This record gives sequence, C-alpha cells and structure tokens, in this order.
Amino acid sequence: MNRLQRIVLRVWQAARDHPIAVITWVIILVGWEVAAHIVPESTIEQAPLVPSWEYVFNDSLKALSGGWTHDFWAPVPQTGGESTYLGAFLALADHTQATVVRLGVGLFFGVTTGVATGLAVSYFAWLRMMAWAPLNLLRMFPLLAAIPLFQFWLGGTLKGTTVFIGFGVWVLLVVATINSVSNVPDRYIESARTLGASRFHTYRSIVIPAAIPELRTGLLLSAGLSWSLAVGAEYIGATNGLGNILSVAEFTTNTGRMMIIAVMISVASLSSFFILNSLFNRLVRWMPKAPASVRLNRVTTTARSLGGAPNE
Amino acid sequence: MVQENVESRSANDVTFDSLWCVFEHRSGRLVHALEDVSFTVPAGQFVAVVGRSGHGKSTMLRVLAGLQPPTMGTAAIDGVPVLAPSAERSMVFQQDTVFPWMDVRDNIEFPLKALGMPKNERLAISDRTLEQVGLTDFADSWPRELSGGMRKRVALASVMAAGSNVWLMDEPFGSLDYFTRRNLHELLLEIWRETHKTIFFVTHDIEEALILADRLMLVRDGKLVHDMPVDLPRPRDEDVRASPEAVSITKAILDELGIEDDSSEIDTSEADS
Repeated sequence: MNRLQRIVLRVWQAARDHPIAVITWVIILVGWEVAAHIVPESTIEQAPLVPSWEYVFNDSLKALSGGWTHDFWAPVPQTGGESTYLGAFLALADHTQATVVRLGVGLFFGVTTGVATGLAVSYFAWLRMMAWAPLNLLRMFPLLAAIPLFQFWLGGTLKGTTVFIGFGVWVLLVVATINSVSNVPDRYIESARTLGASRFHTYRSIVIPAAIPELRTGLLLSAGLSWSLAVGAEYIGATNGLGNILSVAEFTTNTGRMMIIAVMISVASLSSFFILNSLFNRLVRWMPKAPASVRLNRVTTTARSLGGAPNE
Repeated sequence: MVQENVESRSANDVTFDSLWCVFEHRSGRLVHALEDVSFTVPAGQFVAVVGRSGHGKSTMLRVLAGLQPPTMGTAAIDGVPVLAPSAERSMVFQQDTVFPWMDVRDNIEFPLKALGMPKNERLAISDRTLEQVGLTDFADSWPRELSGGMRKRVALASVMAAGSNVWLMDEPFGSLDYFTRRNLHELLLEIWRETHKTIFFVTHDIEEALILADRLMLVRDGKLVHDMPVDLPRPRDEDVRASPEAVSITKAILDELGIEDDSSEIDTSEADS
C-alpha cells in the first residue's frame, strides 16, 4: 500500500467513525454554496457578498500570488509573471510566517514576564497591595482600542507589534498566575512548613509546582488572545502579515480572500493551541489522569475560549 | 530501656499551659475551639486525642504544629514556646498531602532538601526510610501510581526523614479501609517502638485509640475533660481489647463524650447542611 492509499484509507476510517462530524461539514460547505447563489448580487463589481467556492479557489486564491515578490520558486506577478497556485501558497505562507514570528516573540515574553510578575505579586504582600488596583483596571482595558496608542509610541514595526501582543498576554497571565497561586491547597503548604521548609523554600518547591496545572486555562486563553492581538495590530499598521493582507482584502472588498485568510488564521490559531497544550502536558506529566468526561469538558471549554478572546 | 526513657523525658516534654483558642465565626459568634487546656506529655509517650468532630482535637494539634497561634496561654516543647512551624514537630494530615509532582523518593527527601543536606546523605536517609515503611520498590513511582495506604506510608516516611521528635497525626488513617488501617497501625507501632518519638494521634475511633495509645485525652467542647492512662498490655490484639479493663475504658470514653445526647448532634448537623 503506498502512502496516498494509506492517507485515503485513514480519512475514510475517520469519516466512518464520526458520521455526525462528516454530516456537519457537508451541511456547512453545501449551505455556503447555496447561500452564494441565492443572496442578492453585490453592488460592487467583482465582490460577491457570499463568494462561491469556485470564486474562492479560482479567483481569490490564485490572486494571492500577487503578494509573492521573491524571484525564486514561483513567478512574480508584479513584474509580469503568471499567477499560480504555488505563488499563492508561498505568499500566504510568507505572511503567515511574519505573523507567527511577531506572535511567537510577543507570546513568549508576555507569558514569561506575566508568570514572573504574578509569582512576585503573590509572594510579597506589599506588592499585592500596590498592584491590586492597577491590575484590575488593566484587566478591563480595551486592548484592541489601544493599538493606535502603541503604534504611536513604538511604531508599526516588529517591536511595536510584539510589545503590544506581549503586553496583552502579560496582563492575562499576571491575573491567571495570581489566581492559580491562591488556589493551591493549604494542606500542601502546611505540610511543607511542618516538615521544616522555610516560607521561601515552600513557595519555590511547593506553591509554584502546585499552581502550574491551574495555569493551563490562562495559557491556552493567551494563545487565542495573541492571535486576535497580532492580527489586530497588523490590520492597523504593518506592511506584511495575515492582518495586513486582510486589510488589503477589505480595501479591495475581496470577500473570497477575506475568507481564505480567516480560515488560515483559524487553522494557525488552532495549531498554536494544540502545540501549547502538548507542551503543557509534558510539563505536568505527574498529574493524575483526569477521567475521560473531565478531559472532554476541558477541551470544549478551551476550544470555546479560543473562539472569542475576552478583550475583544 | 527505662533509663533511656528517663533521659529523653527531660529533653522533650510537651506542655500546654492554660491554653485558649478562640475564633470568630462568620456569624460574629465567638467559638471556643480550645478552652483552658493544660497538660504535660513526657517525651516518648503515645497520646491519643479522642473526641467528636469539631470539638477542638485538630486545633490542639495545629497549635502544637505552630500553624495556629493560641489566643491565650502557651504551648511549649522542653520549655520553649511554639511560635512557628518547624521540623521539630511534623504533622501527618487526614487529607492526602503527598506532593504529586515529586516521586516517592523526592517526597521523602523534601525535608532534608529544605535543610540543605548534601545529596549522598539524603540518599542514605531516604534509602533507610523507604525500607522501614516497605516502599523500597516504589522509590521512583509517582504518587498517583500508589494506593491510598501507600501514600500514607510516604507521608509517614517524610515525617520520619524530617527527624521530628514530636509527631502530630491528625486522623491520618481516617480515609482508609479497615485492613489497610490495621497494617498501618502495626507499622506505626513498630516505628514508635524503635524510635520512641512523642506521638499525638487524633482520632474519633475508640478502637484505634485502644490499639495505639499509652494515654488518652478526651476533648469535648474545647475542654480537656479526661486524661487517663491506657494500662493495657501490648500487643493490643482482639483478646486484650475485649478484656474487662479495655471495656471499662471504652465505657468511660462513651460516658465522657456523651453518647446519650447524640440525637441532638445529628439534628444540628443536618440543619447545617
């Protein structure tokens, strides 16, 4: 059996095992196509309100190759080259890569500094008293509305977008870390203290590891949030990235392209969710295995949280 | 043997001196968790603290552990007042307190790490302790891979490794089944015979108290209402526990703790929940 046959067999088995999922997908895809044909025609030429699949894959997708500017691997339409699917995928990958870099850097610094700040605030009572009011204010801060402010301060560069993403993630993780620490069962702390551990030793080797499992939700939320923030920041001020080509698509009312980008963002966001989740699972491999019902519940909760970030 | 006892007695007497512990309930009512409690326990004694739930047994242990400051009076070990938790007075809790992110050996070595002991010394102690509690083959296991009884052995081993002279055990075996509990009684008595630590063992199980203790303290409404020796021969097997002496102790406990007004107790607890 060759590779292709194996893949086909796998897909067929998955479809057979999950008939309801297959039916759902068929309804969505067919329903979309039906909608494309029954909605009134748009007043703007070349911009259907609901683009049909044929329009999406032929016109919109191929036209994306216009964004490919390197003179290797695929022809460059800007200098008279042909529009190709390869060029379209390369352009899409190029912009995705730009967004992923911003997001990765911002997410990394946001998570590390956020957790560090949360741990410090939890440990020092004076810091807690100092930080309480500003933190609660920041939690409610409309992040997307602050994009112009960040751009004004730092420019629409890599620095500007990463600092912005990092800031949003930082706020989320500080609050999540403080909550996780306060949820550590007293009995672990008391047991450690009567075994002779100092307050600092108890914090370092008991409170922090005990708080980690609770950080999962905050961490996965931050993955979803960082995508919203990255795309939002690029949408307003960046010369590349998925958010940037989305704003271009809006400018040309290219509905098909908007759809392609939206799907791309969803796929990327979902991947980052699974990557973070599996990294996290390795970190907490000592945890008792949750029963299947709890696990399922956890996945649906986090999947839901991915859909809409709280600061939007 | 006797000589040894006398020596250690002068070293580590545990005393409560007119100790009060008063809490403010959410309703604003003052709750006397402990009321004017005084006693002296010589080093090496096995004391069972018996009483109903919510009558102050656990508070007594928490004060001794340094987890709960008294409102008035002092708790002291060898004349030194208890002010904060210390490895001198380790506690085995009713709930599972084995740290789930450390394997069994790391759990046992935790108090030694807290002391900053070098690795080879820690290893020697944890090896010996693992053998004493019968967990040598499980040194690398995660707590989630162990049964409840085995996790209690780990908790016990951590306290042993900490080198405490006073062990505070707050209904440690309460959640275990009868047979596991009996095995752990055997283990605890064996270790106690070897080390002669001072043990405070809180329980509401009269049989458990009779199996284990030298001395019984009955606590009711925060007051130490009865303090009596358990002069039964060891081992305290079924025959000993069925002897007239044992039965009269059981009767005394039941009289003192007021079995007769049990119905009113049930009524209030139901109203609470």
